[in-house]
Amino acid sequence: MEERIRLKIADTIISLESDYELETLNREEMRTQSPQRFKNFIYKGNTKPHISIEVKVKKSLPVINGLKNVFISYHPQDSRANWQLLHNGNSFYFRSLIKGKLQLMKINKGFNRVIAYLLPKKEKGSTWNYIDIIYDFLQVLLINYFALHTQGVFVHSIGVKDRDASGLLFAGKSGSGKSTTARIWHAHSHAMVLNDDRIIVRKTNGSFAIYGSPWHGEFSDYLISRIESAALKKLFFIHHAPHNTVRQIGEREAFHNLYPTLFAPFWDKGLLKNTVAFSSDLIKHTSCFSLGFVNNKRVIDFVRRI
Amino acid sequence: MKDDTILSKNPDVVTRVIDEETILIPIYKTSEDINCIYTLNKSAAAVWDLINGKRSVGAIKKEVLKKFDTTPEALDKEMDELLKDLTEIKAVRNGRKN
Repeated sequence: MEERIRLKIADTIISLESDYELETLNREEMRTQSPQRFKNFIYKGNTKPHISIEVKVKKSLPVINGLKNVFISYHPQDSRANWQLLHNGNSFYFRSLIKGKLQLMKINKGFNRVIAYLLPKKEKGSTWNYIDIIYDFLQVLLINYFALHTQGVFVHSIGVKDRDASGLLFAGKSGSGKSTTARIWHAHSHAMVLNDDRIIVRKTNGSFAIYGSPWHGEFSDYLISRIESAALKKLFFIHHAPHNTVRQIGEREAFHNLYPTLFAPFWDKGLLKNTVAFSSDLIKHTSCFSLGFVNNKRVIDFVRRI
Repeated sequence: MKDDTILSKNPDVVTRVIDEETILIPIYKTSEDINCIYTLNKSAAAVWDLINGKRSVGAIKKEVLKKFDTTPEALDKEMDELLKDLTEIKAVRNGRKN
């Protein structure tokens, strides 16, 4: 029996197929895993997938010889290894290193064909859950895929589709006020907050657009990530301030502010070069501002008047 | 740094010019190494452009003196600091490029 789920993220169709059954969640698992967070990204259309992932559930993960490290990601708080990217010259391999969630994915050089090897879960048998593919693997895959084709970047940011359908991007490092900004716009603006942590920026037909993504920060408590997109009109680099202030900035300052907020393929020169080129193009063609804001709803009208 | 030293660029560094400013962006093997990007002013960018794994430090100085209004002594000091910084961040290494 073939189990298939299709996702649509930033106009990219991802097909997940398997001969193994999809996991059935009990009530507690529904509460803790909250699959409804991702419902907006389930795709029911007929467009041919851009990326295909075949899922296999095996008693043990394959052993691949001759693998060389490309990159290891460590958790920023506890320094434990999260995942690792490796290659053997022919294929890339993604290895999840999280205890209880060991995985191995074989990825082609185009980052559009994957075989995902998962281990059976206790009391669940040889079943699989697409959420286990979304975190963390699918984000890493899309970072590489978009970079390979110079099609897009992931930005640590909030995306807002304002009432006039214009896209506003509020970017900043941790602690800069993204969660606060998301809550303010969600509660008071009548605009759509696409996501409060990871926005995908893509360029199609010569214009930049922002997209919601399934990877969120804190706002799953009160909001669901949106699949919608918006034409990007303004990019704000935010920080807390005693008064609302704004200053338009040039390309140099914009790049220095933007780069630290990117989830970039730091591990590969060619991919990183494409990402830097895309980012450079983005700031060249988008009005960029440094925005100091006060934690109240007055910042909404302040931004709308810019 | 001695004038007969030959330096080559680390191939694991991405270079980009944005609004006439040269930026160096290293690639990394672990998330713990991810640090920052480096910016070169005009004269530093000129030195960077001249590093090719064949040209000596002395030859680079001669080329830079032709392009910029500076004294050999001032240039020596600036280049020593720059090349020390570039070596520290592993953007360049000693040795001829093959």
